[in-house]
Amino acid sequence: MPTKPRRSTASAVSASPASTSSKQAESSLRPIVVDRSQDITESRDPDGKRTKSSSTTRPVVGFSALQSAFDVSGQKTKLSKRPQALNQKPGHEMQRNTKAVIMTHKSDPDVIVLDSSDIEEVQERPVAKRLRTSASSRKVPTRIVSSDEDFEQPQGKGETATTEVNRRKQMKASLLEIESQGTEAMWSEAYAPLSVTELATSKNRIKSVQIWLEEALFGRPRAVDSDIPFSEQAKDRIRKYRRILVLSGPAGVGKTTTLRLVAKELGAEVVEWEEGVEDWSMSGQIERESLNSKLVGFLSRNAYQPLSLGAQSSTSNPKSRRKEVAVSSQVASLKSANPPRILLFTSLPNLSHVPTREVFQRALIDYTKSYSTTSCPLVIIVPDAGSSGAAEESWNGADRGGEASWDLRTVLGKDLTASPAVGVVEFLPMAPTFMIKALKRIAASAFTDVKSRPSQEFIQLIAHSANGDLRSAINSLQFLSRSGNSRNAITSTSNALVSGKKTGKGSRGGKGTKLKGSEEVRTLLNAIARREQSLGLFHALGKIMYNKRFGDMDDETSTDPVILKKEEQYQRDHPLPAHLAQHERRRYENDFDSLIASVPVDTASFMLWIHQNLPQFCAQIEEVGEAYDYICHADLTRADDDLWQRSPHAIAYAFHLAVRGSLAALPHPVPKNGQKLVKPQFFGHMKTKRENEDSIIEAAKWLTARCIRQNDILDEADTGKIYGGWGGQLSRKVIATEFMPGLRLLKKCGSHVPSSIIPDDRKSFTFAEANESQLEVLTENAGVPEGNPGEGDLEDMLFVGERQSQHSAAKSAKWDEDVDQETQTPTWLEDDDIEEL
Amino acid sequence: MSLWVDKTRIMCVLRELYGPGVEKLKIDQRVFITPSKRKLDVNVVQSNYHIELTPSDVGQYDRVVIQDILKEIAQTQQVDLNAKQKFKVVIINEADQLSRDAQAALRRTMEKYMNNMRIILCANTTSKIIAPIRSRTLLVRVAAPNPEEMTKVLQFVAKKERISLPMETAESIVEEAKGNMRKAILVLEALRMQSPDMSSNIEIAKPDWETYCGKIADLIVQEQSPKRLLEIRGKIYELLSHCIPPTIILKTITESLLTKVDNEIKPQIIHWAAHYELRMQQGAKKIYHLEAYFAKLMTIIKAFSLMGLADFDF
Repeated sequence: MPTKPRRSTASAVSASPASTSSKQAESSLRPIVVDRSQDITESRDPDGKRTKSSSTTRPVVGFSALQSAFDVSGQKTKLSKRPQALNQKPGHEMQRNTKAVIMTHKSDPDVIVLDSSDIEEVQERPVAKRLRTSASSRKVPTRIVSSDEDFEQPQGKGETATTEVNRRKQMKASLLEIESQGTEAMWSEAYAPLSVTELATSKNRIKSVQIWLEEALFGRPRAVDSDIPFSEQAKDRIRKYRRILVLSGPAGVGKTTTLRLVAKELGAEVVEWEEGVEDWSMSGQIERESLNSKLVGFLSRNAYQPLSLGAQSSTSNPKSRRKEVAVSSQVASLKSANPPRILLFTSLPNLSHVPTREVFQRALIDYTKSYSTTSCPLVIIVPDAGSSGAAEESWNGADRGGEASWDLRTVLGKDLTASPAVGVVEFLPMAPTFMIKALKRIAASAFTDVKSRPSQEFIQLIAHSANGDLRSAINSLQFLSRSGNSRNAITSTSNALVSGKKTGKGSRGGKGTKLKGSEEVRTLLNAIARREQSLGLFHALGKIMYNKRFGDMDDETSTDPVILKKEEQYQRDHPLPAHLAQHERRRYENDFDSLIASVPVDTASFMLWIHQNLPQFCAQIEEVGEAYDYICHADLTRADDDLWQRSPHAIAYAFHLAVRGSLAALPHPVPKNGQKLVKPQFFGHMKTKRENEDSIIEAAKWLTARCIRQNDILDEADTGKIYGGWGGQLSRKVIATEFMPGLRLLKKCGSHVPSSIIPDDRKSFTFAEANESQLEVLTENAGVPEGNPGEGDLEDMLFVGERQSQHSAAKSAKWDEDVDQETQTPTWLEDDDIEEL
Repeated sequence: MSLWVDKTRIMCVLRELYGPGVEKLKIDQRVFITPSKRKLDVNVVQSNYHIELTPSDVGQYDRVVIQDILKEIAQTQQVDLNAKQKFKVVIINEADQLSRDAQAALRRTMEKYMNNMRIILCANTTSKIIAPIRSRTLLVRVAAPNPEEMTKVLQFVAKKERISLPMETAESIVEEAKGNMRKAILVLEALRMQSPDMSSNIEIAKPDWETYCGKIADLIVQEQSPKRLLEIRGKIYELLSHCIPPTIILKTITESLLTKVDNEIKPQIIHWAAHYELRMQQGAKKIYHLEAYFAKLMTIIKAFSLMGLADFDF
């Protein structure tokens, strides 16, 4: 009993829509719930509605009912999480719920009674509701609702019945109206590609995934001619090395969609591991063990092809990424034939928690090692957050690898990334051309009327401002089309969906195609997309580095002379006091506030970028020195050090200090000599540093071992006289400064030094002599595609910014075009040790 | 009770205490678990009679290591009946690098388990050791060897290794090593590898990174421009990524620079060196501060060479 309800809380409470798992919650709790039917009818919980929406005709089990059930079984602690979950519910979800209820209504008229009041509650008083829930969660054991007039209602039901009916009618009418006007599925889901051919992702990637999965499932790609005889053994041998596939890449490039479609095409069933948020929120031993057992349980339960019973019906709609498949409800109806299975991890556990990560990685390693003919492959989807540089640097040896950047290596660990059984397919940000294609497809199916379709230009603009994220592009498209196209929808409804976007009300240029129109679109795009798409890192950097001030001489697109005059006048009227006279300069042309808002990376990383690029925009060393002083000051706030515990003000101060300081120090106009914005060397530096630290630890071990060996030899040779070769352990500093140079020298002179300490390859210590050339290369390597983001019109800027803002510094900005053939396509039998074939 | 001694002497003390058996060493990797459940791997060297470790290698978690290992040692009795002493010895290297917490933990455990255990702390300086520990320990200061002693040792080594070491070479090695015997012997070994004949007019090779620092100083003196600064940045990164501590980088470059500039601006350079050293300790990303320092140096040198005199206010 204790575990079951807990799990269902998690799923019932989770903020995700369309939760099928609450069904399970309901059934498991039913016995307790029945005798509290009053509570049930009064339930105001969206989860309850969701339950309804999944076309069940049972009475709704609302949250309060669940709650009392839980409290009875003594699980109070879990419930304290509840209000937050409610809180997080985004606005549009309300709409969704609304719709769900109406559907229910159509199918089962009895139920709407319960739910319409619900909706009203949700819409009218979300705050009150939240308070009440938390209050009731404390009080439920006694079942007293006295402080809460809403709860009293059920008790006096008879009196309020008539009003209730009236209210219901009104509600129904208004709700139906809402539905007819505008609640619809997100386009990214509604018009998701249905076949592999429709995928916008590059063919290359799709093929990689496809081949890998074919090999993993059938031991051979289908492309290989079937008349080559294949022994079962040989197949096993291949499948053994196709255990885990990792799909990594930024959000919205179609990782999950690709997988699902490919799986569908192969006739495989996708079994997804879903971990509720609540399960992670508790700390301590229990939770860790529960994770451990759950994860291992999931893997072992599903690792093998089902025999005859117990397969999970994966009717899961491939369109919806967020579809939840409750882990525990894996027993369901099954089809006649057993389709091959693919396990899927999309939501990873909290891997920044070290023990969790260890458990996770160990489970995966075990998984790669266990293989039998019936086991199925596992696919992990790793969202690629890019390395931010925040908290990346730690001079403390102990922190190594701890809070490092969130990359593949962190997720999988060294052993797994090196494992031959693990394949990785990296997705890159989607190229605008692909995106345009996809957007057009969607527009074509969304608007049957050709005339009302968004124009080519409009789609292009969206595609270019999406930063390679197709999902967000589709969302923008959907949103913009709605807000502008059906103007009557805006005027008639003043509902949440449309209200904030009155800016788009005018004659938006989606189909207008005039330049003016598209400018409005731009503003619109800017308004809705600022948070994530923004200007692009390089654009923002350019704005700072080029330090444009009013009245710059070389400004071809010179500012309005009127403004200029005004500006001059202002400066004359408000001179700086004499002691500050050296700080006198013309005003910065860009709006500083909007600049701040447009910076797409966190402060610490942005400082790194500024720091890296600043000198080339300075003419004199004094300017650099001054700017660096400001950056140093900003660094003293240690805004990047343990980012989450700092006061947010410290970070803001650091930002202002660094950016305004740099602006003050930069010359204006800056000399233009073809500077290129480059990526900070810092990231590469951290990487080599980690490697070198490893080799220092190696060296320490090696030296110690050698000393001890010598000791033993001496000891055996003549026991009488021992000059203990052992001088005690050496600190890392001593090894780095004294021994490593010596060892490097020894290696150069041809003595034997293990290559784990001094690597053999060229990259090793080309320190003293060859360093010049190597460092040059380093600088150039760090360079990113040319393009001068300080100039050119918006279209160019967007493009440049986009191209370059893939600041995931680990890899250079590269587009996911079909052109990039060099990416790792796992070729047939590429590196498997299969001799018999 | 406890001693501060040079490492070689520690082994001698142990040998006196336990006889040659103490030199049967083995390496061991211990795993410690922090309160946050992070695993720490610590390499220890031990014999039947003693254990040696460097807790400062694990940084802020050194307290855990100290506590755990002392308890473990203290709670196990000496099993070897033939052992000359009842107690075991714990050698703690780099005691001055221990965090305050770890030192406090050390102080408590030190007294509690003194029956079964003796502690030898090895440190470069006592100034970073908290007073309670200082007062509980016997302090043995080990001075750096003087040049004569060092030359003698070098000659001894050369004889054992059957190489002829000219007096001049030995002296220049000693001069280079600045009282660091280990360094002197390392240099000797490197020298033998480079030119086995050991002629007297041989150039004593500095560690590569030191030479490198010298080059950076040259770069600063030669040209003062943003472009040059960028060049230097690459080199600083190179140094940093080889785990040369930033403090040492700053110091070495400053020292090298001081031999290359006019007397007039030396005080300023020292001033700013101190300034940025402090900043660096407070700040997070060392590269900012190192580079700011070099930019400042360039500014000073440039101003001096332009005006012929330094009128910078500190």
